[in-house]
Amino acid sequence: MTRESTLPKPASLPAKRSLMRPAVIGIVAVALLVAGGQLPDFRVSQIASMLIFAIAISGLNLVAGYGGMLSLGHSALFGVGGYTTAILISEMRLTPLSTMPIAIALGVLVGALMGLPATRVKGIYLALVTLAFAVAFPEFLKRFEELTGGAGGLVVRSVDLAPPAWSGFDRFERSQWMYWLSAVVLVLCLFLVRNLIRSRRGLSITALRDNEIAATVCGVSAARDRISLFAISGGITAAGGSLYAMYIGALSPELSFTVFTSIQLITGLIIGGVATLLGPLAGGVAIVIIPAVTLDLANGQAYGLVFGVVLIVVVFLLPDGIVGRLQKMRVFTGRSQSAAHTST
Amino acid sequence: MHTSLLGRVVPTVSVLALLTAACSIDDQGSGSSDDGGGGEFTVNTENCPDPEAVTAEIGDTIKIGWSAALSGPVAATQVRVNRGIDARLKLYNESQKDIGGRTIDFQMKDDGYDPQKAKQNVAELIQRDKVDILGAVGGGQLAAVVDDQNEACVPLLNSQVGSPEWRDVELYPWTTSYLPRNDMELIASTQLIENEVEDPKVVVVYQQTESGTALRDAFDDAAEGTDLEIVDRIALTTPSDAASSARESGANVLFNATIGADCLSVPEAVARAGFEPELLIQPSACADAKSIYQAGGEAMDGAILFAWTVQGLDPAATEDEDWAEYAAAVEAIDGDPQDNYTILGWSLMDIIIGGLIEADASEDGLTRKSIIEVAQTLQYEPSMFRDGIPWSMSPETGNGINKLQPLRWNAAEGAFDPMGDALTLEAD
Amino acid sequence: MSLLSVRGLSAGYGAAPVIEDIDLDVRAGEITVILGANGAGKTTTMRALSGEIKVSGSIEFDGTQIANLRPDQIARRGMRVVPQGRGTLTSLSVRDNLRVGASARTDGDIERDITSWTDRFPALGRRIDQPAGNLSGGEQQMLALARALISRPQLLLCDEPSLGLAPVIVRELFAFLREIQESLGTAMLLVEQNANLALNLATDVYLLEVGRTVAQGSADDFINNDAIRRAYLGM
Repeated sequence: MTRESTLPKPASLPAKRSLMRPAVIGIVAVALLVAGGQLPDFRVSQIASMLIFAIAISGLNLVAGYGGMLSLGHSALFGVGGYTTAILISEMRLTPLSTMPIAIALGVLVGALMGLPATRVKGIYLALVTLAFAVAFPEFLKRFEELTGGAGGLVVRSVDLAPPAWSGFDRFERSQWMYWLSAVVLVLCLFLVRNLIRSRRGLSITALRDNEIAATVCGVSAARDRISLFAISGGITAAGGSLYAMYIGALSPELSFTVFTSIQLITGLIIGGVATLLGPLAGGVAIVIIPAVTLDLANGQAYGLVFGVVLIVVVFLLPDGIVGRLQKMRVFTGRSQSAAHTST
Repeated sequence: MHTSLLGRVVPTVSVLALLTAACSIDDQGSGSSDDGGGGEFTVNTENCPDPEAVTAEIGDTIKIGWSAALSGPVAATQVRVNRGIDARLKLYNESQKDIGGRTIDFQMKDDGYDPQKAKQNVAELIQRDKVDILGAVGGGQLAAVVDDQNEACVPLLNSQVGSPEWRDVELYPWTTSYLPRNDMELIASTQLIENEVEDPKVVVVYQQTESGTALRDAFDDAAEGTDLEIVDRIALTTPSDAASSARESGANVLFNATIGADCLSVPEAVARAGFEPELLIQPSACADAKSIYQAGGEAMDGAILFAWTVQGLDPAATEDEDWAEYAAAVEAIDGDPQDNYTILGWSLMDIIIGGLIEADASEDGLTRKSIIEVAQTLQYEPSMFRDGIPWSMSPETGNGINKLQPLRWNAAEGAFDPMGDALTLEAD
Repeated sequence: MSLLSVRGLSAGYGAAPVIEDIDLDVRAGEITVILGANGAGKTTTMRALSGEIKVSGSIEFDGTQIANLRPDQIARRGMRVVPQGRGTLTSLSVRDNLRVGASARTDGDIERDITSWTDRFPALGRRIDQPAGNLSGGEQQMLALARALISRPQLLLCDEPSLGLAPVIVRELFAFLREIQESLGTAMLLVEQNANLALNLATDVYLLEVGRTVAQGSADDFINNDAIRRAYLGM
């Protein structure tokens, strides 16, 4: 959160901190991951699903958080990643990992396509246009039945999803493998998001969100930046979808990639913290944990009610989301909102 | 190997299936080899993560854990099925305990019809709750758990899935399904159509869901090589649109490839549209007489259902002792004995309990291994199945219900009329 | 020689144009001001020139036609606008506002220029890493100017820079504009309601009324012409 300052006084202090903090965060993160890996297998698997959703949400965060453009279409991007991986594994006999770059590339492509309208329409209208992607995607899958298995979906056998030999995991340790793989991908994605947002392109994106006219008269190209933002966002969310396919092994248009999934991702983003780097992680945890906890509290139809109440409470008590709240409490930075553009 | 959830007919085309259905019922059918349906089945436990646990005798409590939708749009039907399951378990735990005096501890986790939650539920049931037997509802959910469950070597019995998928004992030795294979059911349907209608032209109305397209495709397969001409396949958007398209198609037979509320809404819309097919065929999943057929009134008159259990509205079926026992148990938990989904749930658990009794009596005693070995070959007469229709599981077809009784709804009488004898299901 | 040459410019927001058939020249290195009452079309002229709205007519800047280019394309050619209301990027820090201002630049001297501008405006330097939304109105106007100037434009368009500022700050601001023009040779086109200040700063003047140019000339002409002063400027 610190950057080189020309003012003499604070300059030396943050410089030291900037070396210390990543190291501390890295050690803590690795320690947490190792500890998490010791949990019972079903917990490890559950955490893997949180990490996967966190990846998808961090893609959404780029567009909806930093970019300030509400997208209801990210379920389609998630699905593009998932279906690409599932089809490539089962039809083309590729190894799961080797499908990821292709899934990401297609996510970038579809993301860019989804970003095209963002150069013309804004706000609720853009949300509606992206909604069309979310609604069309399951229909598209059903139409191209030969490739996608149609409404019935696609299944990838777990033998085809076995961890690669070099990973040191055997086929009974798929949960562990998915856990570590997802963690690595999440870290890479967060690193990418962080660097992007701190780059000049990231500044332009935040500037566009703040005041589009002021940004464009400074020479910022709204079209180019928004489309590329959607494209990168699409790639990240598709990476999450690709991992989801490897994790779940069974995809179907109605169950995994509907508008409801988009809303789930948005919910996670809001709970975790919009336009915060780690908000998606908190959001990923939340959208897996909250249903699980409320299901224990109230089985059956009451579940939806309890989930709704939890959501309302979170939004009212933590309007900035979990991570946004922690940032305001200076938990991460030790200073108040030093890098203003990384929080709302 | 990849497989799509639908349309993949189990490759082991089996003459044995014929034999299965044709053979007489062996009550104690502990796998005597000449009955065709049962036969021997041995599961390989070498690759199980803990082979000893698989062959260890189960203690005083048998733990059964299910993942099913208790919330969401399909929950209402599941709740009615669950009443039957609960009633059967209550009867067992309170007055039978004939699996070596053991208690059955049953729990159901809500998955909201979401494969990801189902996967998590099953992982928890296996690892944390250490259940002896699993259950799942819906093809998408089963698809997400079936590999995990087979790798863990925990039996998953009587999943509520009609697809032929997941029934290959080579690939999924630890899994059995309860509902009749829809490919086999639809072969019977096409035969019935051929027998009843001259020059049959069929229009298929299907839901754009996993189960709907599976039924549609299975019907296509079943109609192949018959005299049936499928004149149109209509994706269901609204019942009235589907009904007017169906009327325009020039068909004289309607196959309603739907489940849930559309079992009723499609025939109602068809009647409103003035379309009067000679035959209206419903899948066996459209089972409930009260909420579908009675509620439909005139619109349902003549609609055909393939049934394997007794019907709650059938006065003849509801007089015997079996019914009295069943009805008392369901009423004790404030259920409606006439609800056919409740009858289905009761039978489902009845079959599991029957299998457990047999497994307990086997040489190995009650173990996960003996449970699945018995389940894959179980011959049993569930108390709420129709006379002459047994549970006869064969590892070759993965199908336990091998006969279906066509019933024609008589709206005036408010009851079903049987159409001839039960049809024997055959694999293609 | 004209740096900016506008001929027959019409623009508006709906069917009826707000400005019609405007001719306008800005000479290189000179300050030109557009005067006019509220609703005369001054801001619309600015928005038309900066590419925010569609126009008909010809806008030639530095020898090339820029009519109907996008705002960022126009900005990249060296014509920068300080929008009315300053366009502060409130959630970005002061430093990042300046960086956005320099986004068309590719050289490595940006950080050095940021330092020199914050040296020039110590108030900005003191709050360099704070959200720009925390700045006072006058400071935000300075930031808006610095943000435009950091791109080293040939022509600076300022839309009502004095709006909402205390008189003492306004005087400071105009002194600064003069200083910029003299030291960097930056041409400027100002829209201003404060005719007195503007006439003292500018060399060329255009007077707009209901979307049309009604008078033009040198600032001296305007100051010395009592009829115009009374009729249009209320001075």
